[in-house]
Amino acid sequence: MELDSKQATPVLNENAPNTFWGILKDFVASTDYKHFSMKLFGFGMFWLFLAGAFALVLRTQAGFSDTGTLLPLQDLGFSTIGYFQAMTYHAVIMFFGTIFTLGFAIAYYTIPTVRGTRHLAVPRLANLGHWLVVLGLLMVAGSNSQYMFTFLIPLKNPASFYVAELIQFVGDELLIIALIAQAYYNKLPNEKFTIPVAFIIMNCVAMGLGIITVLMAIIWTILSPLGGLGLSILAIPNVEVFRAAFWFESHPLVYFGAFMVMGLSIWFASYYARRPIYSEKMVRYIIPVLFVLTMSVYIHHMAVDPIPIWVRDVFAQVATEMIAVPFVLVWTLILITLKFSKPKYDASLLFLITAIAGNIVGGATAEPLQPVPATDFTVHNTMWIPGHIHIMMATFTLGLFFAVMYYILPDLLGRKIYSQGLAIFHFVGWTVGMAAVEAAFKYIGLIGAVRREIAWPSIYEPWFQMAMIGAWLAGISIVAFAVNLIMTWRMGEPMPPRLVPQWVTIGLALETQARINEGTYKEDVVYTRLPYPVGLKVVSQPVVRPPSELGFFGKLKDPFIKLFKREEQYSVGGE
Amino acid sequence: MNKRRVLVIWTLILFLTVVAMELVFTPYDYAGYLQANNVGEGVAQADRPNIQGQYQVVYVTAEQWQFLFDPHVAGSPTVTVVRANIPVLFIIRSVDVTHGFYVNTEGQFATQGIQFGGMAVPGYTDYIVWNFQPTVYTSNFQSIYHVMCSEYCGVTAHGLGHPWMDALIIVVPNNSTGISIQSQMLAGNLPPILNGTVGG
Repeated sequence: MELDSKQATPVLNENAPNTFWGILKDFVASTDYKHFSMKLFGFGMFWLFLAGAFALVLRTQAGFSDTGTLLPLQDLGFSTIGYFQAMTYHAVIMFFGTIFTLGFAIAYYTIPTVRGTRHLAVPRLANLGHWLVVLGLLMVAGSNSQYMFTFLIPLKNPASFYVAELIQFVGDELLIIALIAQAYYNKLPNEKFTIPVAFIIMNCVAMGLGIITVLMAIIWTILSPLGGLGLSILAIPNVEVFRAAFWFESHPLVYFGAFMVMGLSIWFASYYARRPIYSEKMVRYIIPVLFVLTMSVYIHHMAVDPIPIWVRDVFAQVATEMIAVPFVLVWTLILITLKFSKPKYDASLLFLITAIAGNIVGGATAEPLQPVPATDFTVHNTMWIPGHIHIMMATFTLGLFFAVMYYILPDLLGRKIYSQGLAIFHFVGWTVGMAAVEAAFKYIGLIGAVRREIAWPSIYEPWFQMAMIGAWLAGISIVAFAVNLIMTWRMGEPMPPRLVPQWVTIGLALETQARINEGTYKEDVVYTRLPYPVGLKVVSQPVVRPPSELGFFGKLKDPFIKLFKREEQYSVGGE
Repeated sequence: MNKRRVLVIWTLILFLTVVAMELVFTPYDYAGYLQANNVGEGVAQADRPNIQGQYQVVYVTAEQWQFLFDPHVAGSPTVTVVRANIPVLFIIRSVDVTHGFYVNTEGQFATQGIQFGGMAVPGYTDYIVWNFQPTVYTSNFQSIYHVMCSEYCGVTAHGLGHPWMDALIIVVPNNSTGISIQSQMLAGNLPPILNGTVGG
């Protein structure tokens, strides 16, 4: 499968246009799935820098807020309104720009690569969706909106904000439809989805359904007196109905990034451990469970709405707590798979493990946010909530993205990552920096700092300064990441021009091996058009550690090793 | 132990943990006032909470950008006075947009250990119950609690608005001195003291 490395050229340049107009046309309406994915990665990084810049404005302001003046924003000509606008832009662009776009970039590369179809199913629809998202987000950044919290009606946003959101959500819906089409493109009658593809499809269906309701809510608002266009066709939306429509979309939204890469994370765990996932069958069960729960938990956002108590009990409390079960099961499967495997701890694996830790910590600290009065009083509407969302989005979701991107971007660029050292710096800077932000938010939330504020009493000041330092450290780590990518692109060592990335071949092989081990393998079912070894035990040698290697602690661990039967490791992967 | 058994047991452990947490929290599900915890919360329910024994009633009207108390200190509609150690039923509404009625802990004010608060949603009436139990009073027998809006409710063109939307709750001792101070500050318009279970 490996070609002559002397002829190595970046894969990205394959069939690439070489005239200005050709490049421009390819940029505007990419038909090659790799080019389209690269375009999305580029925009995702742009949104990351833009939304990150707004974040640094907010953190720096809060770091100096105890003076009661608008320093340093005031020196820059900002006002209180400017501060809340920056908060709006940070949140909207980080979600719908950075996480959505990077998630789509990964998915649009993953599906054709893993399935072996290697074509965009509906390139025009996908490109149209992408450019609508770009237009919508640029409109958001120019909308002068202070109220990203659209569910806070009858607070009134500028009309341009609602229109911008409408355009952006239509774009996202088109991207989702095109991505689902990608999974069914040229689908063989006996073809089934691999784990990464199955997660992406589940995710797209959930988000696609959610976006429909939020679109209805936005259109209602535009047609109402709140819309600002003077149409006044519908009455001002009922607060509760609007909130329901908003949150039906917005809770799947927070899982969107994670589910996009959860299947890939399982693959990478297998890849690092050099053994199949502990239970492929269990993963298959978990996917629909996650779908049902992610569509159910949104009611916990409606804590002040007059809905029947039994509905709250079932959907808000039970469902919200219950979603921890499949998440913990996935992490259990990954950690059991990695356990005793002695993987190589590079930036990608470190990001993956830290993301898992982030999800567990973030999930556990979400419990007090449930509508449980006894504890809810303590932290609801405080900085505890931004602390929770930053753990889930920055450490967990973006952490998983970075883990995956260190594999996918070299594939797309056709070059090895320029500097592993910079990658480790990226990991340390991002993890430590965001941990400082999150810990500071959590603590001041616990002692009463209200969120969505511009100035706080001086007792919170040291913690806001800690958050400010952490935010700048995370920002610097992102600069290091970007520099590493640019250096990779321009100066990275060319990779052997494989027809199929190594992690895909091994992922397919290990997933199939898992089915063989579990007795669910069917010869008449295909998962890809790509060739890959079926039956690792036939083509590779199990690596069994001799008992003599077991020291004192090894002997202590031995019963657990036997419990999980994880002695065998397959010597696949070569390098 | 085979793989299937490991996974089934682990899944059951996780599931039962969640169920146990739910059972533990069940008594708190919008149950209104809990004497054991001295807290209560209403979630736009039609019924008021069941409160056993005496309680005081204070109406709170939230609007951009102030809290208006009834009863309130004469000439200061954003300041009210209640008695310590008698649960206070705050009946909260909003006349414009969504606000948060959040009683905060701050260094220079009295502390109740944790924060508490409720939402003021236009079109609905919420309630919260809290039993103020200050341990420290100033020389004039007052303990002050700071109220702020905890839900973003907009700012004016000049930047004032939500960040500066606040109020004060003054707690006086539940004795003749305290009642005298309360009566003087509220110009005789004391919060009604009710008894027993309140329904409908």
